[in-house]
Amino acid sequence: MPDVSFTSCAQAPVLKERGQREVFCGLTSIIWLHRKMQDAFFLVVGSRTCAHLLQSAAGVMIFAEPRFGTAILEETDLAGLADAHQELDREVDRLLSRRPDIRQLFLVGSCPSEVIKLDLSKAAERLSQKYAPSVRVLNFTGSGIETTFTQGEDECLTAMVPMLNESSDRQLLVVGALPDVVEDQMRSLLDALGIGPVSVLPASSAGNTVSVGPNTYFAMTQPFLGETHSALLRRGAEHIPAPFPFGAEGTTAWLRAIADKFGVSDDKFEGVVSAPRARAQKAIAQASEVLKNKSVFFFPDSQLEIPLARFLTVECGMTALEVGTPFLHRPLVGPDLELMSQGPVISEGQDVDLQLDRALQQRADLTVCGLGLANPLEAAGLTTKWAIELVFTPVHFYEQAGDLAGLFSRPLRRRAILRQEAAE
Amino acid sequence: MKLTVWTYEGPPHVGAMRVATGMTGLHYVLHAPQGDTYADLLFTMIERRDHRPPVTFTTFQARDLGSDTANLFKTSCKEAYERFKPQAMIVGSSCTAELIQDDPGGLAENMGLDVPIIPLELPSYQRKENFGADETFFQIVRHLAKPCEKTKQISCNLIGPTALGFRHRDDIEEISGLLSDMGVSINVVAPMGSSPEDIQKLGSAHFNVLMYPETGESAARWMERELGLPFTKSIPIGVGATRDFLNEVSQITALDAVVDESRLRLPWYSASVDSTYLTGKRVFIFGDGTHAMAAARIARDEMGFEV
Repeated sequence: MPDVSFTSCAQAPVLKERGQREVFCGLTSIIWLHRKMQDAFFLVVGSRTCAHLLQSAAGVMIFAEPRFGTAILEETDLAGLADAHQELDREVDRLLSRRPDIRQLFLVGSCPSEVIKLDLSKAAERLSQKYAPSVRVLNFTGSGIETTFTQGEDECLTAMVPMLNESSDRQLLVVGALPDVVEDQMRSLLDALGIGPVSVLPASSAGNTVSVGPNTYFAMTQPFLGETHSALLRRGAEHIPAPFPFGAEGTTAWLRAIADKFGVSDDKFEGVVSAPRARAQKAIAQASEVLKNKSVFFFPDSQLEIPLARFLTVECGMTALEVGTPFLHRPLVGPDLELMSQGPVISEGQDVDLQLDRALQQRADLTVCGLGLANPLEAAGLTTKWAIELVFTPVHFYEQAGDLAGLFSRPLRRRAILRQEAAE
Repeated sequence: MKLTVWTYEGPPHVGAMRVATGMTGLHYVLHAPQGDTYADLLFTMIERRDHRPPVTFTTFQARDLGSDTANLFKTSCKEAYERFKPQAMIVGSSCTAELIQDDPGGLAENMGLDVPIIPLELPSYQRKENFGADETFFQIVRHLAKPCEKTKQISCNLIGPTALGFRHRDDIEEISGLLSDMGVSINVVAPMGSSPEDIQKLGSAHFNVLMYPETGESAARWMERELGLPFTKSIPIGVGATRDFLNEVSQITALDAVVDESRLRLPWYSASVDSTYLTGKRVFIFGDGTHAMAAARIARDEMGFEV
């Protein structure tokens, strides 16, 4: 029976802030996208700053030549755009002749390329014609003036949607880059439920044809894919809204929403999910022992904040004080907001100085923030969790649910076991 | 346009951040798009600092470009001044802000703030991180340092160490010890650990020790010219170079070079028979000019490698 006194976060007012934003730009998405798409090269057209960001954020250890790079704009490129296009063609030429393994080339726009209005879509069209059919050239923006952090993936997938083949088959499209091991688990769950055919965007190679059309249902595995969501709707596909598949309950609700669309019976559903769900519940119970009744404060980082706050409050017994997100996409995170009870401040955007004031005043038991803030907050006596790890670690679906809770409990356990006072 | 797959040297404004973060009482207002704040984590994570760099980023977005980025800069500048109450401020642009030509220096100077405003011109599309550090420190010194009375005891400034430098803290400790053995005290270490007030009294030293030409040479040359401070040219990395350095200090100060070599282990390590296997081994050296040259001399003359 529904709890009539329950008021969810979906009705809560949103604190909107503008000011200094302590977030990455969308170029950072390249770090995981290039691992996922194994025949793609990401060529950023930008400045030394872009190259330095990728180097520092990726912590790139150069053992093999990575499949991303930066075409660094120089003084002469700024002077004449015609020359910039020629220069770009020359660099692409060199790159592709050296790397015959590349089947997809993404030209990635940056702050400087956008401010000087270097039209990369024109360049992509021109280069696509030149290198077809062996290499497909697309473009998207990863610039800080247009995107934050995970929005780079959103822009990249949005650029791919118009290229997808048309199909009128009844099928499921799962959207969002997941680590291979997680994707395999998801596929086997969907298989067991008898749901198919299933394709995933982005696919691991260009040869892997993904199609879309009016009988395509799509489910999102990442909450930051708002533009991709709109682009798929424009192709006639239907979205299956659901909480995101984090934890036992999130995963169950996500699978349930899809199973309903594909007419899976309750018995069959229970038969498939009951064992992994029980494993997940047990793992969460163990890992969240130290999280129970503790408070958490989220700085905005990846847009995963709301689904993760849902997981921590509903499944791990935590209390959220503030949940900050760079953007609040209600069509995507609405179902998660509905499961969270009202209480935390939901904030969108950022004025980092003001938000730090709030965090330091409230002193949550656990503060989830970016790497630029974590050590200074630790020095101020707070316990922090690096938000970026949540993007790079396998955290979706049943088998990772315990690990996900563990990511949050580790900083608390660590603080408890460190004994640095002199022995008496 | 040039394809870069990896780069260890950042853009010039990161050099300016290394100077600002090394110092105290200074604040840097950087006109930069959202995302450039990644540079903070170089200091808070890679260097494990316990404070945020003293840098305010305007973090403009596409929608600001159509309206008024200049005003956004002024607001950021005013708020940073009120919140952090610095003794001096440096202001400038990152690569993207350079393209929109808002002139942060001019804007900040006209705001009537009662602290020195030091504008930085760092050409992002021509120069790199070390240039940015060197130029920033030079501008800070040029704006703030004044001729002043010399200390009674012979003293020097250690010039060049910054935040995120390679072993700069250890180098400062070692060089201070060597100089103290000779009877030379340290007046100011800058940029690392100094405040704008400290910069004002750089002139009371008798000479400068230029630790890293990459980040301190322009300032050292200016101080030689304007404040009459000679500076040392040898970089005390390696046994031979450290002896050269102490001799140079001795010539500048007319003090005897006191060299306590009781803790020196390299010559014996190289002479001991186990090191015979190093003879003629080939070695490749990567690094900034100062460290690469010092390492080359150590490798060739003090360890018997083939460079």
